[in-house]
Amino acid sequence: MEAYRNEITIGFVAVYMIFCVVVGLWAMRRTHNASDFFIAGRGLGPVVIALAVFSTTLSGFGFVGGPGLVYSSGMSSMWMVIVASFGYAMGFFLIAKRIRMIAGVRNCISLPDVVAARYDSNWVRGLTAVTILLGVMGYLATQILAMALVLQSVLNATEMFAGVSLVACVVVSLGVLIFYSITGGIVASVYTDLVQGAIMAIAGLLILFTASSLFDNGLQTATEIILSDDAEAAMPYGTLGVIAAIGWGFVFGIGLSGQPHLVTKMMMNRKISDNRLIFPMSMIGYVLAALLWFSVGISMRAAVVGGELMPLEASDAAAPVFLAIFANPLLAGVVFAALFAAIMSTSDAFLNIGTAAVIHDLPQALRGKSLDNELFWSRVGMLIITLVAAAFAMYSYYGNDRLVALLGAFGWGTFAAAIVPVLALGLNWKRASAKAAVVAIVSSLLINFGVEIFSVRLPFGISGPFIALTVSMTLFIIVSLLSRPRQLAPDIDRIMEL
Amino acid sequence: MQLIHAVLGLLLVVLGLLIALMVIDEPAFSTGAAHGLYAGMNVGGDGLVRLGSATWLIGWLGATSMLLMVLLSAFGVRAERRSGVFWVLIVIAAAGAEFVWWSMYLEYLAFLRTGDANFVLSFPAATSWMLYGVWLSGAVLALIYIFGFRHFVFTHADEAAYEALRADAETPRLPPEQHKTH
Repeated sequence: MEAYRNEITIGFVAVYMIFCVVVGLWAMRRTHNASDFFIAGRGLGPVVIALAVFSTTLSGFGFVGGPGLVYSSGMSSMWMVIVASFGYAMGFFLIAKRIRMIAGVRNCISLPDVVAARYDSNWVRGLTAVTILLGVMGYLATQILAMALVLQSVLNATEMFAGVSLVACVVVSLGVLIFYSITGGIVASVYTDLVQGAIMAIAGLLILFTASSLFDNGLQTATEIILSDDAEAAMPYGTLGVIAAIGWGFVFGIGLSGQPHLVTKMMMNRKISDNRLIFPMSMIGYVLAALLWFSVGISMRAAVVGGELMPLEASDAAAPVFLAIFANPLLAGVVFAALFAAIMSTSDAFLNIGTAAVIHDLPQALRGKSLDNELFWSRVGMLIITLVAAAFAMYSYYGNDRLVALLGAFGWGTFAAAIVPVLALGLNWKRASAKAAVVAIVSSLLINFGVEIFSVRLPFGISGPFIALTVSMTLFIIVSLLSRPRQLAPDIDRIMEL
Repeated sequence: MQLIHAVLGLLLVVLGLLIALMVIDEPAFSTGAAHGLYAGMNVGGDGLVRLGSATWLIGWLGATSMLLMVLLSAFGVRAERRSGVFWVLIVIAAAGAEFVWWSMYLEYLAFLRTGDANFVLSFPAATSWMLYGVWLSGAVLALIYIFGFRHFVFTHADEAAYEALRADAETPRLPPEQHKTH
């Protein structure tokens, strides 16, 4: 079997891509209007939503960047993962119920629709849509690049496809992504998420066992090796220090409630009471999938420090090298398919919310009404957004990566700082005002963008998003308290009472 | 005092601690340094030295952040539904999160002073508090949500009221003049 390792890997990836195309064709028959396209007609069951929520949360970063961070910085990056139980708790306590209620009563098909209904403000709708669009372009460009690079590395390992170009890999992987996303909309997205989530959870568990089996006394031996080289790497805050770790915990814990690609999924369930099943299923799925992040990083650092392996050329190579050297070929095939699954599930979610922002929300904010034939224009818009993001990705790879780095700053941290106060606090506090929402969004963008543009270095590893999230939430509450209370629309007022 | 005021108070404490950390002297290599032997790998070095004079500011920053996450979860429950039982459960969740945080942090400081890692469940005790404790202390909130769903989050009465509201929203509205003719 070892002799066919590369063929097995390509086989798994090919089967997965064919599966995505078939799901796209199947879902196209179930997509009749914009509501089906963007939120699956609000008719999905708890298992589908749960797996979609967690697989959307864990992008390709969790499979490549995460293990790379543990390899380079020890336990620091684990703070992005271990606060997931708090993050999901806040997401479900603060958002899941009321976002679904408002979506049901006001027939909302996007997150900006919900905030516009809550605040009765097209300003808040427009600013939310712009924030989402900026974040989506950065995220999507990096996901497309990651997808193409992984495909290229898989293909280049074989004789038949050795020397295949990056552009060809972009075309193939984007072809699959575009096909199922455009034909099947969110229906295709969540049903591929279902399989993607299951693959990711199983892969995480199997990789943990593989990593543990590499050392005589399991991960304890690996940790002892790391500890003897640099104690801080094996301690709970890693080499980046306590404050950097706390900052990641803060932004990834509280910030989970501000991720538009994730909270939009909370608008799609058939019954609100399903949330008590969706919450534990998505949380446990996330933890299982994240085991790969942790176990690969630890075992690779220990293997290099212990002299078992040559140092890696780049920390991001930790997962691919681990799979190539230590994993059973079948398991490596499953994990590579899971890696594609992770990247694609996040990409299709971003495509969905980005298209909604352009085709639905911005026209609503600027003209006060939607486009005619919204379903058709949604498909056209999705194609254009994908191509623009792909162009950004190629430009960053072959030219200057500054643009994507800037847009990348509008990633998790900016979504967190801009959207958490507006949504998580605003859906639970009648006093929250539209003026406060505008102040929170603008301040978060200014701080995050300012720190990135001016390359501001804060002491002790304090991050821009940590400051931005704290400031935007604080300003949101203070401005709301100082604003004159406004009468809410009767239906929204009633929902806030439930 | 309303819960939103407590949330605001904790946010101001976090901001104050961050500002304090920005104005005190930052020790060298507070965020680590490149590994001397392996490219792409970092080291933390001497933990006590890089904490500098910020040891207790950092301790309280972590503790405040954990408490804030618990209180924000409680904020998602309507004020009228925050019964005595609910508050007891939230206090348990908050106490658990604080216990885990301080156990982890104090164990870490003890390691820095003594060098005794004291392995528990395959990892140094401080790291085990992080890997198992933080995750599980957050899971207490999940249990409150799952088992208290029909008491605190979405009662059967809430569900009936919401269904009525939704049905009302879906009912086509007749113009006023047509109402008069019927």
